[in-house]
Amino acid sequence: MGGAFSFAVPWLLAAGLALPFLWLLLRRLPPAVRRVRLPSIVLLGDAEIPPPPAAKPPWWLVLLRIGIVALLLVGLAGPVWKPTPATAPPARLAIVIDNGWSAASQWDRLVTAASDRIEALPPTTRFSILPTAFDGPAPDTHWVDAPTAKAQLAALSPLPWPADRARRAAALPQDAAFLWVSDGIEDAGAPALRRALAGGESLAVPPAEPAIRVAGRTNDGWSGQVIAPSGLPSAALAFRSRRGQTLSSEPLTFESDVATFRVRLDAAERADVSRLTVGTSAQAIYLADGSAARPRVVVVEGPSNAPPLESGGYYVRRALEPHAEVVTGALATAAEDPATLFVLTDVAAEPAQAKPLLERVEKGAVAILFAGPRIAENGSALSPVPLRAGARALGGVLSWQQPQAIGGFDAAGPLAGLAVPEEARVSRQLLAASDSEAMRWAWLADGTPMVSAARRGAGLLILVHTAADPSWSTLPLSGLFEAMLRRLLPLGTNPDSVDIAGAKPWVLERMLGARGEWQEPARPVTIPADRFDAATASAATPPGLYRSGDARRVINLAGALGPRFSFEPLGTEGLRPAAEAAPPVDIGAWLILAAALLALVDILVALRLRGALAPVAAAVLLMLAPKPAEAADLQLAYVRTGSPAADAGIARGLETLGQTLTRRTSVSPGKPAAVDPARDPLGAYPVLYWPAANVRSMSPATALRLRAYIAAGGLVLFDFGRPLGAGTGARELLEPLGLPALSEVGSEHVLSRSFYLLHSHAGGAVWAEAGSEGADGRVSGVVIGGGDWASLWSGDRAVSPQQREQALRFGINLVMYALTGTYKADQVHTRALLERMGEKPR
Amino acid sequence: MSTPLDAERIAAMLGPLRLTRARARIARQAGAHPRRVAGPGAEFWQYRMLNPGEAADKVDWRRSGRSDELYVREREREDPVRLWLWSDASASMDYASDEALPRKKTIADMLVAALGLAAYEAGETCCAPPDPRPLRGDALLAPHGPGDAPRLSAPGPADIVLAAGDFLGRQALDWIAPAAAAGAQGVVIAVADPAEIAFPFSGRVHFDAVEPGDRPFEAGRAEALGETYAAAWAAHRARLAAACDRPGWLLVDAVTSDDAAAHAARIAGWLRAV
Repeated sequence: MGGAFSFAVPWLLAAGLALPFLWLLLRRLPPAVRRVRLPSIVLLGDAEIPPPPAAKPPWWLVLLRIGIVALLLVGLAGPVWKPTPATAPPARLAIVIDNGWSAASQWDRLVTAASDRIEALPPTTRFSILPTAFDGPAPDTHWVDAPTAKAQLAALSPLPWPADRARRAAALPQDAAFLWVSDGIEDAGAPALRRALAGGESLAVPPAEPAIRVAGRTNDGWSGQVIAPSGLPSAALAFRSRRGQTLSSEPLTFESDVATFRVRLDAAERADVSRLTVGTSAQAIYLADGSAARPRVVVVEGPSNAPPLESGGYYVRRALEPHAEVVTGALATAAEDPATLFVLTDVAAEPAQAKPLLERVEKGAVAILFAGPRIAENGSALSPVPLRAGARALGGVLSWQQPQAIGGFDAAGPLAGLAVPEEARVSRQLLAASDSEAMRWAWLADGTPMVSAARRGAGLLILVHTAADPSWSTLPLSGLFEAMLRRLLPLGTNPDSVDIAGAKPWVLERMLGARGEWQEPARPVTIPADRFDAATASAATPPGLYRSGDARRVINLAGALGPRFSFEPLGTEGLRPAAEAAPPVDIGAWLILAAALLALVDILVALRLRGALAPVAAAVLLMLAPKPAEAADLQLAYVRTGSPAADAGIARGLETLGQTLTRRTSVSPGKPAAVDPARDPLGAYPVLYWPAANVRSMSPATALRLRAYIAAGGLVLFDFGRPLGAGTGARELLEPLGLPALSEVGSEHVLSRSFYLLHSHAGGAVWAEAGSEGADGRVSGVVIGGGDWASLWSGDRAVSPQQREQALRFGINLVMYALTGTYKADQVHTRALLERMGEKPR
Repeated sequence: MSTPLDAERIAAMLGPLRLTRARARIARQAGAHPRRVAGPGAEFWQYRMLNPGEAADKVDWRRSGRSDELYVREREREDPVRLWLWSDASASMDYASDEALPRKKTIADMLVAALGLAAYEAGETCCAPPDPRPLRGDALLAPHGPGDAPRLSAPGPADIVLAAGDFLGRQALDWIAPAAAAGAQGVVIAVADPAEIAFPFSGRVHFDAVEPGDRPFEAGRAEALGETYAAAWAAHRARLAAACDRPGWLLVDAVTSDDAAAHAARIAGWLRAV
């Protein structure tokens, strides 16, 4: 298989000219030398001293180092091996590349695949890049060389609407070979493009992210469906707030590629949700806007015992419940509710009662008042207009006037364009006291206001001049009642948008890019108000945030997908798979790696030449070696006597002592250890019991180790098996230890007081280092005696229970002394301390 | 493993060290009988009458007060057995191949001081050559012996030399023969570092000068020198052994990684032997 070498940075190879100079330089530099002092080197005569070595490194080392530099240079120059493809390359290749929303999640791989194909062809080939999604008419075909084509590919980006493959199929160049770099998703235009590209190559990179095909608010949260491309087992659904925080996260598991979710959110979170995401591309993002919200409405009724059909609150609730979350509240507590829309039916609020609610309105809430007999009599502090006391009755027995029909709606108000029902008649209404600044959104046939509104701070006060129950009008029985309330609902989230229903067109404010990022619209996009609801994501109406006056709504990509969308694999009839173009091999990294390995070899060689390899290797081995296990726990130890029977007896004695210690004190020793002081490490044992009845001498090595053990705080109990005196051999045995003066342990010694107060040690006199009574803090390193304690502890020797107890107490005191030192010495002074405190010792 | 025991601790371990060997040798040379004559000494020997013309301050007034005669208190003559303490203080002794090891000088000084202290405990006279005045107190603990060898002023059978050093120089052992010829006895403590025995060097090594006058040199492959060095070291040991064996002196090979107390005990045993 043929191929060609090329270099990314060929000029770096020119540095290779400097290699001969490097050769000269290296030949002059000797390897580093180790300097040592050795006094005895003078023993070598002049004749034996070798001649000084030549101050140059061996030729092979120089060659090695030159090789390292050369490899590094060539590696940095970026050598690339390009294999030639098996088939004859086309002279002109048109690359059709899918760049609709479904390509977004794998866009980099699509572009890389196309670029690799371009690179694999000879430089004489001409290319044309043909995207399947475009804004406006299909772009013309331009034939360019490879670098320009790659630049065009890099400048191309996926678009957040479906690809228009049918239009692309209609605008294909002639006399060219085709490569379709597709997103692997079948759609309506795919067969047409397949037919047009018949015989061309095809290369598919299926999308990697799921798509939200439908989503919507529920009473207590969100529900919807997510569809995944095949092979994706799970995803995570996240609800994000306007500030980008994750409010809630939900794992999704796809069953036959579909996952249905139903998520509960609490009211504050529901209000704050700005988008749902299951990925980062446009299809995985669902923007939430006010229109999708179920606003929370608080209905406050006047104090009335009217049956449901005569109660205004009942009609308001029935009208709002399909569209909003309606709760019933009382005037006193309504202001504490997080809702932003309040409906008050015939509530005659006094200024003090209305104050909290008015403050909420000042901060942006909306209050809708329905008139009624109570307001007619008492007025209301929440009214947007000053009211005339009493109601105007129309069509009563004392009136000439007939009940009034609805006259019309303000074209600039939120009620603009509502149909006027013929049957609705108003028989009683409240009248405003005088002409005021208030807005008049609806009026009766005679021009008197039916709905007035006034801004209060950031919020709105709205008054419906007739009642919410059918006693004053037939309005609650007509469809207009619900339509009016629905028009007023969005004011709760955005009280500024009073001209919401004005026929202003929707203007694209920010566009959602195919990869989930906000983009400034490339060109102005406007959608007439009446067509907004039918608009889906497309080139003419890209997904994103639209604005009409004060109101904002969104267009989601989900609308373009439709609720039955699923990822269908793209058919490949008539197409052949793209020629397996082996990508160019970058050799540079391997060359640099080889240079690094050779440099490592060079370091080892240099260490070897300096003679420092062994210490370094030893240090490395030491680091790698496993650490010895820590000693398990406290152990008493005894010196082996050499006779297994005697050793077993001593071990039994120490075990009994250990059990007694565990029972009576907080010391709990493990099984006793048998040691050889000349070999075994002693450091872990607090007490070493040495049965020395038949031992006459100690080797210097043992003495050295024992001295170290005692110096490190250990305690050795020498037991000569019989009362000390001439013939015990104690002096001969202990002489190599170099002990200081000894003195007999009395009842004032710490050893006699460290746990029990002892007056005898069950076995005659016991000796310890002189001056270790405890007063000056010295701890004796040896205790010498002849009690044969091991047999007393184990019970092997028949003695009275008192004597055995005495021996055990001595053993406990000894271990305590070894562990705590002179800590208990203060007891020696207890008597003096008590006297000083003025108390008689008992 | 070596526990750093200071000289006093070793001396306490050794106990009072009487130089029995030297006394026995004097006795052998002068015949089998003890020397029961008056002379300078510590023990009471006899009272004698004051001879006419003798200085009045020799009179023992306590004894003379009991009678009319004037008496002089005489002591039994003591042989002036002296222990000459010397440790090499040259630059080559200031060496330890590893930070964990003591320096050669430390071991030499410690051994000499410990044995000197132990002998002083037994009432023996210790001197630092070439000064024949007895050492006392802290002077015993100080490093002894200026100069490149223990130069005794007038060596005799009552002298014991305790010399610690590395004796690497060409003339480092020349002092032994004259001293031995004059009847002196001695202990030679040859202190060596483990590196000096094992020669653990390889590769390109530059050997610095240690003593003034040494010639530094560089070895291209130090491991190739190993055998030559081992032969030179063996020859050095043989020279030492020969120099000590001929007059029956004690040679102690003290490696700095050893237990100094063991060496001290061995030397003390030799000095006590009859």
